[in-house]
Amino acid sequence: MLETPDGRRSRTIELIAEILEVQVDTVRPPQRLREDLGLDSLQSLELLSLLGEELRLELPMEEALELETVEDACAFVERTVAANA
Amino acid sequence: MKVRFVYASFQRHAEAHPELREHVPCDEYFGPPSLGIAYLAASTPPRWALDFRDDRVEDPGFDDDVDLVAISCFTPSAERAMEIADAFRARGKAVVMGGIFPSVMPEVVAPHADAVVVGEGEGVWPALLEDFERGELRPRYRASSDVDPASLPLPRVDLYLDKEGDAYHPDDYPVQLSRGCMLRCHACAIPASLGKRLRVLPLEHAMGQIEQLEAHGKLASLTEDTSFFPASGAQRGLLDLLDALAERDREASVSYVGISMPMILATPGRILDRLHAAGIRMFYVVGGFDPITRAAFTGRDEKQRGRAIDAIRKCHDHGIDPYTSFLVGNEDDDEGVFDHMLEVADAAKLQKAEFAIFTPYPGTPAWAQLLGEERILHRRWSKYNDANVVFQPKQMSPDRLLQGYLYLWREFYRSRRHLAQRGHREATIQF
Repeated sequence: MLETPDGRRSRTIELIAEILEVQVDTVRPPQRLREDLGLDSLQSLELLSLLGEELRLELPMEEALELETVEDACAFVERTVAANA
Repeated sequence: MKVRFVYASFQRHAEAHPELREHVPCDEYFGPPSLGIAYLAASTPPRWALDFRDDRVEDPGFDDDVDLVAISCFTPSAERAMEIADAFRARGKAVVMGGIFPSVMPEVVAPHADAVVVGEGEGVWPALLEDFERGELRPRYRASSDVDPASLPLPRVDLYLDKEGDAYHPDDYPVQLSRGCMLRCHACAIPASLGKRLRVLPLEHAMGQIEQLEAHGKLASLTEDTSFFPASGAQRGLLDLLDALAERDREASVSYVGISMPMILATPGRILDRLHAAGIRMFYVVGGFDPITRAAFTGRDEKQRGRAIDAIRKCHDHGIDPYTSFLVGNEDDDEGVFDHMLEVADAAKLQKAEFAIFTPYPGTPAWAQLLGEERILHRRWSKYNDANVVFQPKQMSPDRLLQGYLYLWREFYRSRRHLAQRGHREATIQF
């Protein structure tokens, strides 16, 4: 699942939904993580922890802290994978 | 040429409020200086002679024959540091000041010093000494870029160890794992003083620091919460260090690791197991800085209260004692916060804790906010030490906050008098 960009995108959205304990189809790319979805600081840390673990990558923290939307999170995953390829 | 490094003294909780000693059944921990001078001494060219004076335990030696005096201070010691600087300068000695306070308030210390170093000292120290040798010392030295952690020599902690005696003999000394931080926490001055980029020190450097302490029979304290940032290079560095410690067949040499409750909750249990396997048996848990604990202690957020208790239980479950620091006086704290804190501490079965008054240190976002709101009560820097109220709290009077802080110390330890019978390490706290 994590081998392709589409697979990583789906998994990122699934993880956000799992952490928020909501149905995955309610999480949409333009939504803002904090304001729209209510992702708090601990849940942000949990998201980074799970992403790093599943992708087996170190994440650039300065960039991770700038994420605002679900789309940003998906793009961040792709950039990080590409940088480590 | 000879340079003398001076670490200026400051008041701790028990010195600011001696009555606490009657109520707290623990030994006071009198800790070592921060690492700034030890790193700067290690970066001093060999053509310079150097020595060190710890103002907390000895005279600064104002009349001694030295060419240059380098004084390091943070906010609680800034007033004393400026007094020391004035005394040396009155005797014709040149004085350089650096450290967190001079880095964020250079205009305050400038009238007391021939030169002020802003930012990490190692980056400008050799050039400053050359300027001094030529008689061209400049009033301000600003580190233009972050110091490369791979270039750092091991800190000269031997200078600190030489000061130990009957009244002063710390069990542990700080070991630095990283510098700087990309977070922008309300009450933290690290980004302003050490930069916004988190730079991890190489494993060899971290192990080198621990091994030089072990050679003197001392433990290492690892104080940086940023080491737990999930999936980061800092966490990788910590895990590598844990593995290196666990591989050695010898007694644990780390006294505690600093961490916050969100990081405990976000850290997988298997990493806590690796900490335990490496011999780590105590966390220094900082509470009251982060959104979880700020809300948990108000008594109005059941979810965050539950998370705070879960964090402490998670430590217990993994065999690591959570010695917790409670910060009181945040914006959401009303007069009920004191009893709510005690209730959380009891519910989580905490054995040891310390209590601190929120302090808007210069260089922090909190300082800028309260200054803008005209809520800074005074600038007597020696009172900026977590044991005095220096700002107008939002939901109570300054005196009510001070009395509440003293009440927390008394009440928490009222039911824990048995700690006095415990062994040295179990019965020692920072106050």
